[in-house]
Parts: sequence; structure tokens; C-alpha cells
Amino acid sequence: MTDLLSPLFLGAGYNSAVATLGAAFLGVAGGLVGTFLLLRRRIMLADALSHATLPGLVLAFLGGLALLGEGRILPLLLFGAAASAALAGLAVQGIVANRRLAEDAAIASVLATFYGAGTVLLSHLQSLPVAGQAGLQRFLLGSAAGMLRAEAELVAALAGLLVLLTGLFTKELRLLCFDPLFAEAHGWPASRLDLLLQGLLLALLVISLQIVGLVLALAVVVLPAATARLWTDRLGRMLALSAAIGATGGWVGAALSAALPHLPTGPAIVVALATIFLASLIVAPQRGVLALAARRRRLVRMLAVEGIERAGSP
Amino acid sequence: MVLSARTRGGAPLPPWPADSVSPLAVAGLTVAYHDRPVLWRVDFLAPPAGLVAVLGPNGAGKSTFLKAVLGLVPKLAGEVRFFGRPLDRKSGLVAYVPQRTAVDWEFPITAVEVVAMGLYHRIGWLRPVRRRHLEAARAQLDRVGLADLADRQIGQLSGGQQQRVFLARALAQDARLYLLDEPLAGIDAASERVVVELLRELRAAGRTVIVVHHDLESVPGIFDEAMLLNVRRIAAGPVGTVLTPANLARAYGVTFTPKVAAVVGG
Repeated sequence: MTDLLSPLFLGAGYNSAVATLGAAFLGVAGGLVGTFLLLRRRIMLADALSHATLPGLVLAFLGGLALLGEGRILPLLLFGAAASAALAGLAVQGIVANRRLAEDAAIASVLATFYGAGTVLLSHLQSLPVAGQAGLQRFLLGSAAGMLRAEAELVAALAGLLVLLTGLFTKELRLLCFDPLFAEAHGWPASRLDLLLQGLLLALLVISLQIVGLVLALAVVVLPAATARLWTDRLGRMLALSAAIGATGGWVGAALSAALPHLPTGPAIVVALATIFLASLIVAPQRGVLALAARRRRLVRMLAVEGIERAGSP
Repeated sequence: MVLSARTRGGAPLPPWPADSVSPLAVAGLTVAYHDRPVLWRVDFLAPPAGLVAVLGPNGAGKSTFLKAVLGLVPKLAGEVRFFGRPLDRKSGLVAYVPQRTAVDWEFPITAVEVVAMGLYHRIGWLRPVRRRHLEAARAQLDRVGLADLADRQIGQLSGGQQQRVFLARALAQDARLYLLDEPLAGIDAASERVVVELLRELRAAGRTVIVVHHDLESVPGIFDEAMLLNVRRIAAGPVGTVLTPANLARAYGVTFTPKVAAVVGG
């Protein structure tokens, strides 16, 4: 039992402590960026862009191999990932701006195209007799356990930057998400603010690649925000709550993963976040299952008091 | 551009009106969605103060007219001047109220926070909304009779109350020219009275208010001038001269398509 609990309190060694803190930072940033993406109704963009990092990762690996004789260069890999995700984001925006397709169709098409291309490239890479390709696998499902101190510092720095930027731009992003037409008409360029939101998402994905992995990165973006939305009708509280839930999920998930050696970090974090989400679905005030059932019972009692017979009853 | 009036050899655009400081002067405004013309060479001149209705059947381009003059949809041809100049959106001279259906009323925001958006251009980039801004927003909510609902989430308000919140946001902007898209559509009688009263206040304060409107019967009781649109401008001017049976038949009777125009014209 102690073995299971000690990572929770950063007591399972230096490496595990670094990973746990990194995952918590990621959770905070994911909760903040996810809140605005959710309110802009573009949450699926997170899924598309995270999957779209794959071709960039593989190409960066191949490029490093060809030019420098070494594929596993972290800055190069992250740059490749960010570049191909940025390209996917621009593709979505271009398709939507010209009204060629509805937004969900544009996002899904771009996801399929980029992830498909990435998978093809990855198969090709795996057919080559080069070492170190296993290093790419860790980006699929994440692995905070092997995180170096420098990598954790990068995560912390980027997460701090994301907290700062979402804080600075709260007013502008709220305007964009609520009423983009009004924003545009009064000098707050909606398209540029959308680009800013995409930029924040890109930075988030760069850090989540290492911890959660690209397949499940969506969870860190959507689950804290969706959970917070169940609890409150105020944006300020939703941001704070979403960040807190993200931190908790990241912390607990990374600790679990440290305690259970065969559980990758990404899935562990997702399980932690999903548990909080499911519990909220049941117990949240107003929107929770229990609250709805209680209100329904009150109505049925009123029917009985008034002597109204329900339709369909014999 | 195939659809541009100039390249098709149409008549030259009319000269700029002598009164170049009109709150809104539009010449030859032409807009299309893909290959479908929505506005065709529309001219318009707003009075220095007063209430102007933009009228016409569904799909006549009324909402698009407001969006196009503000540059929210691209125009194929035409010139637009606000107070004699191209639009400076940040200037705060022009306030725009989109259709109520354009936003998500489930959004986690209160009425007073929506109204405070009317002050954002004065607050500026990156600066937070402060208590005094919210106090100022509260005062505007009081003007539309919603002071006691200021801290409600907006989804809990009725349609008419939501429209009044939008109007309070425009009032907070303290603009010279107001462009309102269907502020009287689908609202209750009490809200309608409040909105009409505010329009009259704005006129009395020397503002110009251009209102996309759908109910012809109420036009003479509220508005000074009107523009009748159906892709083309059918008529514009004082309400009495615009709402004639002949003009209404032209606006509501026949639908404009370029094909028809080409056949008739050629």
C-alpha cells in the first residue's frame, strides 16, 4: 500500500517526482486552454492537431537521421510535431473560412489525412534498419516516467507561459468565444484570436506529447473543461476549476503510473481525469444525474398533490 | 471579378454625395455568397440623426447589408464611408448589434458581463475588466430595466430580456451610429416597448440608428426613414415615400436573379 501511495506524495524517488510535477503542470495548462476551446466549440481541434503531430515527428526523426546521423533529437522532434500540427490547423481554418465544409467535417478530414500519412511514414520507418525508433513509440501513449529534468523544466516553462497567456487574454478570448461577430465588428480580429487559441493549443500539444502521448492528448484538453462546465455557469470559476481538475488528474495519473510499472502515463492520467468526470456527471448540482432525478421526483410529487393522472398510466 | 458592376460595363457609380460627413454613405455595394448575388449595386445615405428601417423579404440581403458595410463579409464592389472615412472599428463611433440567434445563450456568462463587452474598446488589449467597468455596465442594464437580473446567467433570461442585454451592451459603447440586426424579432410586448423607447432616446440624442426590421406594419409608428431592399435597392427615403404599393410589389412580388436580369435586359 505504501508503494502505491508514496508516488502521490512525491516520495517514490526523484524521477517519479519530476514526472508527477510535470503531469500536474500539463493538467493546469490543458484545463485553461481546453476551457476556451470548449466554449469556442472547437474542442475536436485538439484531437485533430494532436494526431497531426505524427507525420511531423516521423519526418523530423528521418531528417535528423539523414542530416545528423541521429533520429532521437528531442528539440527537432518537437519542432517537427509542432510544424505539422500547425499545418493541420491552418488547413482546418482554410477549409472552414471558405465555407467549403462544416467545421466538424473539416476537422475530421484533416485528422484522418494527417494521422493516415503519419502512420504510413511510421510503418516505413519501422521497416528501416535503424536504432532508436522505439523513442518515437513513447510519443504515442506518453511516458512521463523516463522524463529528464531538462524535459520537465521545458514542460513547466511552457505550462507557465500558457497560464500567463490565457490570463492576459481572458477578456479577448471570452469575447471571441461568446460573440465573434461583435468582436470582429469592433476591432477584435476574430481570425487572429482564433490563431492565438490555436497557438496556445500547439504549445500545449508539444508538452502533452511527452507525457500523455498524441493518441490521448484530447483527454487533457477536454475532460477538465467539460467537468468544470458541469459545476458552474461562470467563466472565471470554470477556468479555476478546470485548471484544478487538470492538475489533480495529472498528478494522480502520473503517480499511479509510477506505482504500477506496466501502466503508461497517458492512459493513467486519462483514467484519473475520466473518473473525476464521471463522478461529476452524477453528483454535479443542476446538471448532474442525481440533481435532475431529484427535480423530476419533486415534479411527480406535485402531480400527485394536484391529483393529476399521468398520461399512459392505467 | 465577374460580378463587379464596373467590369461588366454597367453605368458608372454615382458620385459621392455632397454631404460627405453622413454617418454612413454607401455607393454601389455588391456582395455575393459564392456565385449567388446577395446585394447588387446598393446605394445608401444615412441621415445625420434619426431612425432608419432596412426592410425587405427573407433573403433580401438586409442582414448582409449591415455585415458588408462593417466589412464582416467581403464585398465584390462598392464604397463605404462612415462619417466621411473608411471604418476604424476601434474608434467606437459605430456600434453593431448582431442577431440574437448569432450567439450561444448557454455560455457561462452573466448579463452584466455581456454588457461590459461594450466597454472593451475603451479598456483596450490585455487590460482586465475592473469593478468600475462592471458598475458602468450595471447602469446601462438599469436603462433597459434589467438591473435586478444583472448577475443571472444569460440563458436564464427570456428572449426579449436577452435582446435588451444586447441593446444595453450597445448603449455602453456610446457610439454615434448604431446598426441593429432584427432587435424587435420574436420579443415580448414589454421588451418591445423598452426597445422602441430607447430607439427614440437615441434619436433625441442626435444619433443615427439603422435597424433591420421585418414587420412592415410597425414601421410608420417607429421610423423616420426606410430602405426597401431585395438584393437591389428598391426605394429609400422618408417612410411615407418608400412604403408605396408599387414599391412593395417590386420588393415582395418578384425575386431578383441575374439570369432573369440578363434575359430581361438582353
